[in-house]
Amino acid sequence: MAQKDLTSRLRPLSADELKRVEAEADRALQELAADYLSVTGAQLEELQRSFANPTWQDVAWSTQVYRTAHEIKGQGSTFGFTLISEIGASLCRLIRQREKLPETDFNRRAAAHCAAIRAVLEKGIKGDGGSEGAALLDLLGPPLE
Amino acid sequence: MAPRFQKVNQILSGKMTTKPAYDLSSLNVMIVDDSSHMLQIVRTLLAAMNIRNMRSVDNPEDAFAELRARPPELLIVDWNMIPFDGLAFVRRIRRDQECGCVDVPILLLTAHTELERVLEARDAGVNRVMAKPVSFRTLYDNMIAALYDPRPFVSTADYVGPDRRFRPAAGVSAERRKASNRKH
Repeated sequence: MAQKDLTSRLRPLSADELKRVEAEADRALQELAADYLSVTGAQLEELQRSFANPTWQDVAWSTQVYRTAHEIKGQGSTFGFTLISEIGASLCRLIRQREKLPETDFNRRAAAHCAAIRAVLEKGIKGDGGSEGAALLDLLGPPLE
Repeated sequence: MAPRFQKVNQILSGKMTTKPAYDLSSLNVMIVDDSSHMLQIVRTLLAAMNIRNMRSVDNPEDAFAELRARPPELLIVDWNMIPFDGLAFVRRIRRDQECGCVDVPILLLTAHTELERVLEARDAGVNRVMAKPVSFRTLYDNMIAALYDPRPFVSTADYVGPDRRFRPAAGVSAERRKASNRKH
């Protein structure tokens, strides 16, 4: 049996109507983009505070730390900050593999990730950042996984 | 949509054809994502489509209660969630008769677009895999494609979801496939 065709009860939309809907969506996304730098900056500060006073044995706490890193990773690419997403993805991997690393190594790498995100935010580096972006990624340490 | 990703989505629901545009404002949509940022983006895009009947849930456990209370017509789910991921969530929906929406069209959001990951999503029973970052066009096109998925819905001992082998050009009878694979 075929799945229900849910479009059968929907009103067809003309090309002009669809363009208007798309324009409204783009306008709404631009409003979100305007808040991106400040929101990410606040999330970064939250991460830095967490790394400064770690309680990894607290599941709720460690879940929240990972979630914040995951948010930073996710939102970057939506607004053109793909370098931040890449650093965020690396940070997520680092947190997942924390128990495999010596504490000092983890702390050094975590600090490097936070510093790299801070640099991208302060310089407003969009895209992959070219050679400057590559240099920042080099500071994160050898790739994990 | 990027050509590479368009190609892997063809694996999910057959060849992507140009579909007519529809007014989606009357649709009942539910979003399950533990990222507040992604929830905000998807909700913003749905609001731009004038969809008022939308709910968002930030964890898959709570989502089941919502599903049972009022089944949606379309479900948008993130892959990477805590305490269990989007694929586990989808598998559970497809087998949970109590949720009342076993055959609901499901869009899976993911940053993982490698072929093997897409095939993994297909095997969980999703209708469409949608690559991040999300834009209006990718979301809208995938919603339309999921709402008009021509594949038969199959239920076997090993798999519940849109027919993974269905190819419109092949003329395969869905009923025949379903009957031949049914194990229970």
